[in-house]
Amino acid sequence: MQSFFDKHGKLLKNGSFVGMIGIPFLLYFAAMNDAMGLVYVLLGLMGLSMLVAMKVG
Amino acid sequence: MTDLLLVKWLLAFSPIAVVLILMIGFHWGGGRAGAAGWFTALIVAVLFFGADARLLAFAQMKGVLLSLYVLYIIWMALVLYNVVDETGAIEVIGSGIKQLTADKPFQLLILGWVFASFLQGVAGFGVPIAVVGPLLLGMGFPPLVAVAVPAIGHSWSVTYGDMASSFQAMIAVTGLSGEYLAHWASVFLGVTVFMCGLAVVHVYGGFKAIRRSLVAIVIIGSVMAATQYALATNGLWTLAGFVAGMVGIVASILVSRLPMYRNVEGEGAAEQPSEGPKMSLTFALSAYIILIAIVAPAEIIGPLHKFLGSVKLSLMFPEISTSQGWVNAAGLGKKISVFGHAGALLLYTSVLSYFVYASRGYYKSGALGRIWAKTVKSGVSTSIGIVSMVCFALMMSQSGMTNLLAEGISTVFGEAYPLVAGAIGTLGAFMTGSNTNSNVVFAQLQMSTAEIAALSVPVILAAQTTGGSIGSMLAPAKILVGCSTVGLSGKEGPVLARTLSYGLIMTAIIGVLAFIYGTGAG
Repeated sequence: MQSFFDKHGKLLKNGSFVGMIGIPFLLYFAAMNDAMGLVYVLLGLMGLSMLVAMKVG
Repeated sequence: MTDLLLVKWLLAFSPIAVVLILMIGFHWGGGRAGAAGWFTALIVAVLFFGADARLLAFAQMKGVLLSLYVLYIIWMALVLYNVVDETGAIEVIGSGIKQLTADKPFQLLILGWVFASFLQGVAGFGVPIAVVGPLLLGMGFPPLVAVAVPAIGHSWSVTYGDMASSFQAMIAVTGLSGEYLAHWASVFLGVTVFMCGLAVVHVYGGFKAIRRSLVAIVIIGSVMAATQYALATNGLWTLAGFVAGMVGIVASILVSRLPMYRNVEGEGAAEQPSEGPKMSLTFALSAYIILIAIVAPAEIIGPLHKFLGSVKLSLMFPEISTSQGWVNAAGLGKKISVFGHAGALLLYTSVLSYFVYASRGYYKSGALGRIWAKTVKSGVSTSIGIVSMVCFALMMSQSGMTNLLAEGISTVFGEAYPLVAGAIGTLGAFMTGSNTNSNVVFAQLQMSTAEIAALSVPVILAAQTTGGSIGSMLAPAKILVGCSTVGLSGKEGPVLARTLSYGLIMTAIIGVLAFIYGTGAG
């Protein structure tokens, strides 16, 4: 597992950053349109971005 | 405070505690600690403060808008730095300061206290640390000192810096006049000028360095504090930080002529880029001269400022509340001025500077690629830290946790409230990385508490904004900026530990001043 993070650390870090910046825009539009199922999914993805950041940030 | 409230207060404090413990105790970087704080805030907000998914979604978006406002400056400051550094000009500038004075503590004062404050006056968030940190590193100061010194040194000028945006925010949220608030704010910030000067040299050389630099600190500090006071109390608070820094630079040059600080013969011989054509100090400073030439008119000339600020991006948010009744009013999120933002001004400076340096052949082939690669390398780590921290701070404020923290502090301290008024401002700036946000979040609360307790409102608000100004030296978001530019990414903890001690002492002194002058409604 650690070797995976070592090997793909840079890609994961950049991906995490893009997720953190991009997902909230989708969250905003989902919340404005009361698409709550999508809001939960996107919050999960935001959490995933944060988890990756905790590992490689 | 009841036991139940105390538990809730501790829960509200837990995200901040997690970040502090991880960064200071375990030396985690800002990105990792911020993400851990984000999870803590999310769990506490949902389980104990009644935040639902919709509120969390809007909090993330507000956080990203605020982050983009900050990242615009950071990325462009990194671009500017790399545009300059690629030519070898940083080496030449460092050498030039050495020639002005060989006295190391005085060099720190000139760059880390005076020049950094001037940069805060013209450019705002993060720029002073991002620009001065690498200069100090290039002059041979240790990386930790190179970040901590500008972080501490510029903090007095945050309230009136960047066209007094933090002071204007306080005026906006309290509905009080600037003239009413300016006197005490300028007095407290004036005291902070000297404290920052003393701290800057103490970081480097302890009390021995303070003794050696005392004359310089008194002369230059008096000039800067008096200039700031004179402008702010005469309705020109938008210029107070900028002009105080500029006058401070002139005073520094004059003080460097004093025998005790004059250059020692033979020291500070001019260094030149190791390869390529020779460069004069004036030419090396071209980028920063261009920066002043662009930023000053863009901020001072009204019609130009209005024109550049004519395109603004933001999003509208509806009113939203928690299940426990905490209401967030409907309104626009953070507005980003695409062409008039400090980041845009830094971009114009970078492009012009590139052509100026390129016209004399200071770039080797592939320079643009290297500038971009270095910028991305530093920028991504910093950005992750900033986004995660701002998002968790927004979750806290949107779910009522921040308000509970402030109320708890005021309840516990009662009549001694002025003692902690500055600490509340500091806390706000620490969490959001911004004196402006601290004032937006806490100024109303501070004013209400002062009125209820029959305390002097302008004194309490002066403590709030001075605390917020000081808090900017502790804000992980700013420390991240500095660390990214001196190769300390991921090692923000030790830097924060260093600035924390000075910040807490300064905040305590401001609290004592507020206690002395704040009792008896003013």
